Amino acid sequence: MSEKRNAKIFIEAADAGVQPSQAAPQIAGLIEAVGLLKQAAPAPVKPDPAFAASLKTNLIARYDELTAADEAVATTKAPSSRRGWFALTAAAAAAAIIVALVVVFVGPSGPPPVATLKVFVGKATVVEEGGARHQVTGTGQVREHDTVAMAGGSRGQLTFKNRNITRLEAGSSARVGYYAYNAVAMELVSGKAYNRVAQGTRYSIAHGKVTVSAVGTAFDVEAAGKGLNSPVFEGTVSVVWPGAEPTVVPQGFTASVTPNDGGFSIKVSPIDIATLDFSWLAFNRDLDRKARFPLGVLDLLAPTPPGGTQPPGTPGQPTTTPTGSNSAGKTSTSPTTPTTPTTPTTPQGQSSASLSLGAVGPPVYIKWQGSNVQAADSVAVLRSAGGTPTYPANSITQAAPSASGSYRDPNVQPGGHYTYAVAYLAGGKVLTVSNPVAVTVPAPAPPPPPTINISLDGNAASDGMHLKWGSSGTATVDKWAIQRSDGGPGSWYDYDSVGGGSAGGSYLDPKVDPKFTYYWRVGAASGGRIIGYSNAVTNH
Amino acid sequence: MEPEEEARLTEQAKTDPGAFGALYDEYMPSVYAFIMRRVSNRELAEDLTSQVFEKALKSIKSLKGGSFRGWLFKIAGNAVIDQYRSKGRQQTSSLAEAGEVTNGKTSHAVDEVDNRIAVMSLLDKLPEGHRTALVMHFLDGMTVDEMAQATDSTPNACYMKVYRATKAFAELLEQHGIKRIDDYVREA
Repeated sequence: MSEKRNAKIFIEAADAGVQPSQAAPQIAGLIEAVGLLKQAAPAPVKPDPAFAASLKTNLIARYDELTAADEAVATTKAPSSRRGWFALTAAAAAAAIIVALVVVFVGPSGPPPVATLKVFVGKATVVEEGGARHQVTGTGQVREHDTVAMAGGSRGQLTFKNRNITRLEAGSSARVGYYAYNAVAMELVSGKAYNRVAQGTRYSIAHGKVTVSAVGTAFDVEAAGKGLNSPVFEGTVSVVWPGAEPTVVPQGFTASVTPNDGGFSIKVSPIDIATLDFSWLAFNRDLDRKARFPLGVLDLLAPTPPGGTQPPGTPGQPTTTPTGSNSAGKTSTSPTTPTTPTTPTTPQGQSSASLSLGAVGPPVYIKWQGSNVQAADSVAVLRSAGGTPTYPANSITQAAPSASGSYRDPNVQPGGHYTYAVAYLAGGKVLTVSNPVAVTVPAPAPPPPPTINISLDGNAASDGMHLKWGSSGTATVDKWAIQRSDGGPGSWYDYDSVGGGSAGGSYLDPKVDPKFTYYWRVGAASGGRIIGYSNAVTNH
Repeated sequence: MEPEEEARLTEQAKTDPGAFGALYDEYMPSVYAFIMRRVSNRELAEDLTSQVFEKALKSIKSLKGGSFRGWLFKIAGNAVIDQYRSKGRQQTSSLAEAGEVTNGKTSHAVDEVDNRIAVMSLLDKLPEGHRTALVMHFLDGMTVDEMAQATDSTPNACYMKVYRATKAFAELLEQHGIKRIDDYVREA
């Protein structure tokens, strides 16, 4: 039997759902392979209903503009080869030729830059997709698909045209994977990136298979082998990898993703002060403050370190974890610009204490260190709801003296403002008191907005248009709004309403002239506003 | 949607936004799923889907004959190819990954997960042309005629592509002990 005939028999049998046991012998094994493929393949992915509705509205609104273009896109954009998509390798080669031709005829400028790279100290290397490399000192331009590699001792900032910002730590490398007017997708190759997401845009940064994405947020991402660590300083991010439900990480918490049995596991915990790089955070905090960005908990986390905000690799840079030491009890203040290192000095033999802030949940974690406090017989933790706390008025607990200690304070309220300090005591008198640290406990992340997906069916009959709909989602529907459009689905007007309280409903519109085309859709009203619409149906 | 209904709406959509909206409602989910199978990022899939329907509107007046659905898949395929060109092959996802991400399910709990992953991994090992043919026909649900339209090919050529791709896939499954193929499947 010819191969052509076998091919036709096989495909017709496979499409008809013939089982291997019922199939002709020469195709039974192939039918079985198709069955295995269909079983193994993930189910088709459904689009986000909000996206689908939004895109449709946009397309209908721009119908005249877009149809006027009449570009015959499909024929001009398709691969010229008869092999079409089956020759992606050839397409890639053709693309390379096209790129070469563009360079020859248009010049070396290439695609437009999407971001400005500012190198604060030292230099960065920008590697284009084709492999060309440029060294950047001061400022340079970065295009989509470029990779930016920071030299040791150098930090850089990518400011995208859509106002998103990616800052790279010394020795880090990241690629601009995708850019659009309303979106940026970065790929962290190695090291650490601080991300400041512009309002109304989508931003994601991936390391390997793990992606962190956010809207209107400041967060850090540090590559950790195949996993990553991502403390969230302002707003909320979502962490996901193939096969996992997205994990929402609120402000004040760190997501730690680690490889686990071929997959990943995630731990979300209050930001641990011991894991933070103060120099890096102070650098970002200072730049954000200068730009008047909301700082969130970043404002609370990073007292200026003894090592200043110099990047690693800078000559003379201390490598120890710094703390804001203040024997005089002054409030730690943050500089408005990156500063050079200043090492605090303590007169030999004089007692001192430094306090720093850990996670701000609630609860609030604080951590302190004492110096020359051998004479102390206890340590008092002080907390006030206003100014600098004092002993004994604001003492909330006491502990045995030691050179360092920590305290977890669960008795705080979301949104509350507190100031902490610790006092080393000897014989009931204050030996030394730490610097105070002010805290604003973040409010819990707001619950996700209610969602609804409405599916509408319509049936034109002699007595009118019969509408029937069902819904799924988390929203409670107060009322179903029936809307009709008599001039295409872009001209909706409120037509009638039906009581809510159930997941679906039905409606008969008797005022239908079969000579005309009408459209209907159903909106779900909840809390006094429409939170979603169904698909549209028509009588023709 | 029946072919006659699709043809009627396609003609109407050249002057009537409502008809285009009806076609959008019918085919947008499958176009989105088609793209999502080929890229690893939901946001990127949304952007490409937007591009597909914008391009469809821009060129709908020049569409003459053929299946609207097949034509949409052609535009979608070109959008994905553009993505390949701009990002390189490694930037597209394996099918197994794309599905798991978008399903939002942890398939580790499923008993057959290892077997599923093995099957999908073997699919990824096929030459691009074979893989594309299998996915288009058996997973995207494109008819042979739609495949022909979308790939500037002929239905007969697409029959052969799907057939040969399935044979290659079946042999790979056999080599990895996932499936046994009877000797009679092998053609002389």
